[in-house]
Amino acid sequence: MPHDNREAGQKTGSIDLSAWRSRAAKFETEIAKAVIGQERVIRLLTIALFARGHVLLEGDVGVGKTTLLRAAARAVGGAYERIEGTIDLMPGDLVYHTYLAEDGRPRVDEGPVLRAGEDLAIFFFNEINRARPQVHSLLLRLMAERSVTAFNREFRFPHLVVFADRNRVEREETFELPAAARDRFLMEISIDTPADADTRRQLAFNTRFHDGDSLIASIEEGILAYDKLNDVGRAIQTEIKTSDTLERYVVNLWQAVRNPAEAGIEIPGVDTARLVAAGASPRGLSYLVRAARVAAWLDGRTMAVPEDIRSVFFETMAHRIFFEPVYELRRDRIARELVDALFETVPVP
Amino acid sequence: MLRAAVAAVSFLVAATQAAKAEVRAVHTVEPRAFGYFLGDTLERTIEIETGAEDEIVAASLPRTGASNYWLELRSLDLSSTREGDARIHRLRLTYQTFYAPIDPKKVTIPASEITIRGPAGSETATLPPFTLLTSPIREIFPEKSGETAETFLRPDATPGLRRSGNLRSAALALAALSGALLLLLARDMAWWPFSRRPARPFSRAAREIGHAFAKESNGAAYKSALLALHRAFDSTAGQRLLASDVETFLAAHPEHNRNHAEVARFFAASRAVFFGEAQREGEIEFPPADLKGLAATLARQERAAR
Repeated sequence: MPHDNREAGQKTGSIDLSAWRSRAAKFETEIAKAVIGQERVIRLLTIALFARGHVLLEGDVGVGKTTLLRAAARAVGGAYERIEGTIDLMPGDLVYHTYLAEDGRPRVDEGPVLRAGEDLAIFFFNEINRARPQVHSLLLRLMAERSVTAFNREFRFPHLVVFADRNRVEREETFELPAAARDRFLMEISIDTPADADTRRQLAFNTRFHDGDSLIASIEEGILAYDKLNDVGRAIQTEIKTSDTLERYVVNLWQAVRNPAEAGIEIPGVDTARLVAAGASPRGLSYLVRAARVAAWLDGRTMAVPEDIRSVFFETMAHRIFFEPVYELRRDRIARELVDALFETVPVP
Repeated sequence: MLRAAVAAVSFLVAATQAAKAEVRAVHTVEPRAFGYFLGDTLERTIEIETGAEDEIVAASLPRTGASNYWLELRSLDLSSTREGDARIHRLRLTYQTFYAPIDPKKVTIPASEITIRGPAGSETATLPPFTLLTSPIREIFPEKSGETAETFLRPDATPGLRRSGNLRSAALALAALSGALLLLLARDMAWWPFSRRPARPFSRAAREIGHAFAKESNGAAYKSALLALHRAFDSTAGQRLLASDVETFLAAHPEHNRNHAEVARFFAASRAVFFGEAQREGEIEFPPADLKGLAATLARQERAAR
């Protein structure tokens, strides 16, 4: 296909997209050395980085969420800051740090968000659901506008990507993320223990995986130049075409998510006419298309196809769909079934 | 039936030889001797007691059929049993009288002789005659009592209505049984109406593609032909089928497995047309004739498979 294989000389302005594609492939292989058995999660993380979107990882304790994000941060390069979500964390703790200096006078320094200035590439929020809503709302602005106001001036972070994780085991002393905050994440990726027996054996017995710090240190640093990613992302968005048919398809999907019953979607044990309360925001839809374009580019195509939409749909859209309260408790299962049914039902092309 | 046990009529036959057959007695059991009309039957039983080894000569028995102008022997049964040192031959004779008397009249069934054969010679037994009184069944001159031919003749007996109902009921019951068995068989074999014939999406798509190209042969026709085949793939798979699902689809539908390359080309062309916005490349890659051919092949395989 002429459209699939137009690899050579794929350049937009000064960005050589095919060279960047091989860098992306290298990024994926490097991360896969540190986090094994999570190829799909790594692919989604790569898509998120090139789509310039924030990522929320969730999963059980000890499945490698933090390792994965640290590895990704190292491979992206640039300044990296992290903070642990705790119940007494306040928004101020993110932007400044007060202490008594050696000379006995009070000092105010920049907090983790401001410390690296504009170079901040990755801000890693660990256990985000332990932080209070006040912190979440600061995060809202940081994510949406990539800026904060502190010390009477505005700080901008043009290269910033927020990674956050939360575990889904505990519910005590946690604060559910508000819908507005969740909507600002490009993807919400669920990460599970690898099912493959060989991978499990390696994780348990291979000493390489026992020491997280040396594992991270083994990853090549700065494979993706963090300060170029914005330009690359823009180039990808302009280069990858979406046809009228695909646009119609996405709109149909959107329609079907808002009104599953009208689209003829049936889920056992669920009244689909009363399932979806709200959600699937226009921002979510634009994120979806952005992610799909990146997926197409990573696959070496210049056009986005329905497979691209399908490959990123669950992670980009599921957390934006809000169910009626009676169905919220069974959210995980219903969301998966809804998305599966969606792609089985909405006609393409 | 008047049972008249007539005393034994013993014939002492002039015996020429001591070892000849021996007729010891002839008993007759006669029916009533009166009240016979034209067409009536009467049954006589004659028992002949003979020596143990003696037999009746069959040729000497009265013949069935007309005995004379008014009498007919309808049937004759002969049986013989051994009792001690004797043998009893039992003859059952059924006569029918056709005598049409003008007034009550005696007629006589004549005597007849039967030859008995012994080990060393024959003997004759005589069946005695039988006299019966037969009467007319109608007046000779019915006009005298004021009757006419119309009133005098008895109406014809109404024909007996033979019931064919049993046969008909049996026929109906068997038909119902056959129907029920046929239903069971149809269910077992999944014939209509127990299994609606599985839909044949590819056959329909092949037809639609034919129509699409028959009307016009421009890009729109090509697009709608592609769409028709897509819908056929969708309904065969039971879900929307994307290009990347082809492998799974063919694994689940091995009847189409031989067309792997063609199906892949179809999806590639469809991708170019719909998502690459490169209609011409699509048509060159997978010309309408190939599209028609693929649809026809898939339809044929589908028919063969179900």
